[in-house]
Amino acid sequence: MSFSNAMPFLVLDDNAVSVTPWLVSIGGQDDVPDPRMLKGWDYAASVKVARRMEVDFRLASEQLAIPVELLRLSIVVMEGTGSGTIPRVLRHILKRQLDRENQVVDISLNLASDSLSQRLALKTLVLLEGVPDARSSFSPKLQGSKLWEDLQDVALEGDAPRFPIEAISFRQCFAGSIQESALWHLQWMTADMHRDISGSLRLYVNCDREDFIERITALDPLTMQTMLADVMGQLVSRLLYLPDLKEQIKGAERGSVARQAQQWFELAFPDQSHSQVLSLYEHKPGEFNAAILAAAEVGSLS
Amino acid sequence: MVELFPRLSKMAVERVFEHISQFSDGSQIQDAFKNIPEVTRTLPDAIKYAATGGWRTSQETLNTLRQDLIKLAKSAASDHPNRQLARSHFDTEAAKYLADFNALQSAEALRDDVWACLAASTLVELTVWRFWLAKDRFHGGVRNAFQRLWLRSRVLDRGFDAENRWELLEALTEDAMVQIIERPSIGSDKILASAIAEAWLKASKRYGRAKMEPIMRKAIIGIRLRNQVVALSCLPADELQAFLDNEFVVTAEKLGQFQVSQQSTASADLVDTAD
Repeated sequence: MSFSNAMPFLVLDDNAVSVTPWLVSIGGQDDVPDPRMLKGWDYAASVKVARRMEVDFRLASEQLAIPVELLRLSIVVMEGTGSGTIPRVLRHILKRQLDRENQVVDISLNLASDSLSQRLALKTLVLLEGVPDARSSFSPKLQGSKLWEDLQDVALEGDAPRFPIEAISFRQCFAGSIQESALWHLQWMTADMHRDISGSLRLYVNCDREDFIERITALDPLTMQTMLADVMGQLVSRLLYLPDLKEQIKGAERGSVARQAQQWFELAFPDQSHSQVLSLYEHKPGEFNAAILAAAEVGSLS
Repeated sequence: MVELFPRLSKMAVERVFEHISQFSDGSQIQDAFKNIPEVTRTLPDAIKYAATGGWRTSQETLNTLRQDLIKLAKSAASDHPNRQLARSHFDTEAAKYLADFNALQSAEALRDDVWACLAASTLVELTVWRFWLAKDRFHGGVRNAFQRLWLRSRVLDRGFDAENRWELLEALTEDAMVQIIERPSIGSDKILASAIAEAWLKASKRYGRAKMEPIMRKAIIGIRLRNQVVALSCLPADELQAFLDNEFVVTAEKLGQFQVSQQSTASADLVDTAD
């Protein structure tokens, strides 16, 4: 189970919901359990996914504090595809009802490859069906309440890192400009901090500098920390100048530039307000940058 | 088999944009457009295709796309002397056109680099006409000049056989469409996104289009929060619609600015009770 937020009601754990890993096969070849990448995929390949799920209704009833004879659940599988932290497209591909007489679901689906792009995200949900009388005020009470979920994210074309990094020749791409000899260049559009990171920014590293590329490939800690600090500094300082900042952060989607900037802000400046940090940035930039650099030691670009 | 479209990398788009920006005063910009293939060729592998799984789309197909969209732009400009109205009309008609363009019916249309190539190369004059030199409109993503239209048509299409197929596309304001399409947790899910659009339409008839911006922005926050704990798009369709309709009503009431006039019908304008 992998909820990104704490739910305001009782949910199911992995003892109540047992699942086999997703088996994914491509072009009739052998099933690959729990894959991170599908080699040999293209639009013409056939893709099949399968898993078995079982809900222990006795245990589920205890965990949700809902009488077992009243408990109705459903299993939903969604197929996500397209780039972005949240897939660009989500489609419902399966829904099965469960009760104490039918506790097992065998899932086997053939997917249309010509509708897949860059990744296949399989999201499985166990939802509450109906609005049963419950024994606890903490029991879920809304039709469709999310009681359990997991996500299998499979790269279809290469193994792209979650943070968009690309090695290019700066001599070629920035020929004649001062950036030509830079080690890295964070390209991003500041206009809309609510865009997904993968679409809004890209960290280019200079492949003309072999010594630098070697350090990145080796994940040299000081190199990564310095580079991350620059990225964090740019995003966090931009965040501080957003109008209606509190509203913007409240409305920031998971995976957006604003959400990431806020997370880094909280990492570098715990227990400080935005106005305090803005004052620091404007009047004591050295302290601001030192805090960012220190936070970059624990942050991650992967 | 899938028709494979040409793809343009972010860096190549940057180079194209820099090239065009040199003519930002408008002079010789037509020459800038003609030189674009040269600019993209200076980068290694600047234009790419998927290696396998389909066949490359023909130049004829790209030319048809280009000519038809130019025709729509010219028609919009001549029918609407007001610049803003002309562009808005073009957006609507181009979205309808892209929805039914055969070659874009596959997952190639989900790729940002495909739309980047269209906006920065094949359709670059239209991008400039529509947005002048706004860089994010050339890059792939939800703000790309044409990708945004295709995304709207994907979500707001009631279906080929539906009565009033494009009512949502024609009725929603630009702000409403941005709130739906550019929020990944909503825009990615057609069931939820189109239901929100239907609720917006109903609310706009109740409160008036001009009043909808703050209502929509607040309602979307509540809807997104509920969607984190309830799988809204898994609800029965009538329950989902009832929840969303109510969310707009409650939001309008909470804003405390609106009440429907005593003589109102479902489509009456609102009486503004704000001080």
